[in-house]
Amino acid sequence: MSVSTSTNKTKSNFNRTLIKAWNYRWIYLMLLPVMAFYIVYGYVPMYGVTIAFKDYNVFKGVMGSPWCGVDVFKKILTNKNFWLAIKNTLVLNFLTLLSSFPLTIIVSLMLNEIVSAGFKKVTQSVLYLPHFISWVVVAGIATNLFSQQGGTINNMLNAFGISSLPFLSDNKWWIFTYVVCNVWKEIGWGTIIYLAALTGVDESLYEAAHLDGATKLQRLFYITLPSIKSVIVTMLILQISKMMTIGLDAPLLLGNKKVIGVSEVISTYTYRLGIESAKYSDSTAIGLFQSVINIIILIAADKFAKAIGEDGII
Amino acid sequence: MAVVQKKKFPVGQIINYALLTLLAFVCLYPFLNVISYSLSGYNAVLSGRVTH
Repeated sequence: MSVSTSTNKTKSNFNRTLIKAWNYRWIYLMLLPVMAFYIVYGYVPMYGVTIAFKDYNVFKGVMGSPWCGVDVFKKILTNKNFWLAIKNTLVLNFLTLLSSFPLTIIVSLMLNEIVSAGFKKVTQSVLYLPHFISWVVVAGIATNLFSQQGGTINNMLNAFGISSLPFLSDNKWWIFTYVVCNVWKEIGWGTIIYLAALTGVDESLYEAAHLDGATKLQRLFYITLPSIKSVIVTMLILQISKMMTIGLDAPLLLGNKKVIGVSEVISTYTYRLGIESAKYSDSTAIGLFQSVINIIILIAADKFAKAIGEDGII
Repeated sequence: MAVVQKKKFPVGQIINYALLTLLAFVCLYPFLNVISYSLSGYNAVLSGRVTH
């Protein structure tokens, strides 16, 4: 008796779900391309992760290659070049985050204070412009500007009596150039989310604070920043979670043999192993290792945010 | 008696406008530099006479 009642209940729940799904069929239809995208480009390639646990041979294929357990991981984890690439990735990402994260918020707050709509629009458009330039072009521009022989910046320094600086050929100066190029390229684009959050701040709070005699700075610290705190924390968690991920193009195009000690990052190391040396198992194992570390960092950052009383993202 | 209120333009706003203008210039300058290089002669580029 009770079994048949529970079966009937399950059936009716299922029917109700089907009816609901039918009512929203057009919404579900719109979801299909997105699902197809993630299945084709996100989930199906995961099958290739097995290469990391195999002694992969191109001629035998993924299925035909013999399993080798965690031998590949043991090999890469004992390679000092791998650890150098990890260190460089973390250093470059950390310095970029340290400089671009507060700068983006400051620029957003500055843009938010602009009264003239025309000036604001023009400035925003100009600041967004570098984001749309590919890294190949940015690297070309950087070479023109920062080159030690005849570079525009060094020409300017020489005009002031300062000797030329090795922006692209000295390790420390290369890191500086890399961070500057990254900040230049992405600072404007990064302000979009903060500007959107700033428009959502209740105007009546500012009016009340103004009547109470609060100065601009007090309004900034007691109304604006607390109002966008959750967005700031979310963005910080998202950026920290990408600490082990670095684009291939920027370090590859800006780097050269003189600065290989600081410009060799995970992506360039994987590229050299996988594409140039055809060590597919090694490069896949590094990619998997990188993803696992990113997930661990994401969870840790989320837990930390929750521990200090903020909303996490998981 | 009519009270004439002076239009305020605080120093903070002036600094804000100036800094954003400078930042916008920094964003635009490399493009200007590329255009200058593209329009300059080969010898001028090689001899470092293209400065902006």
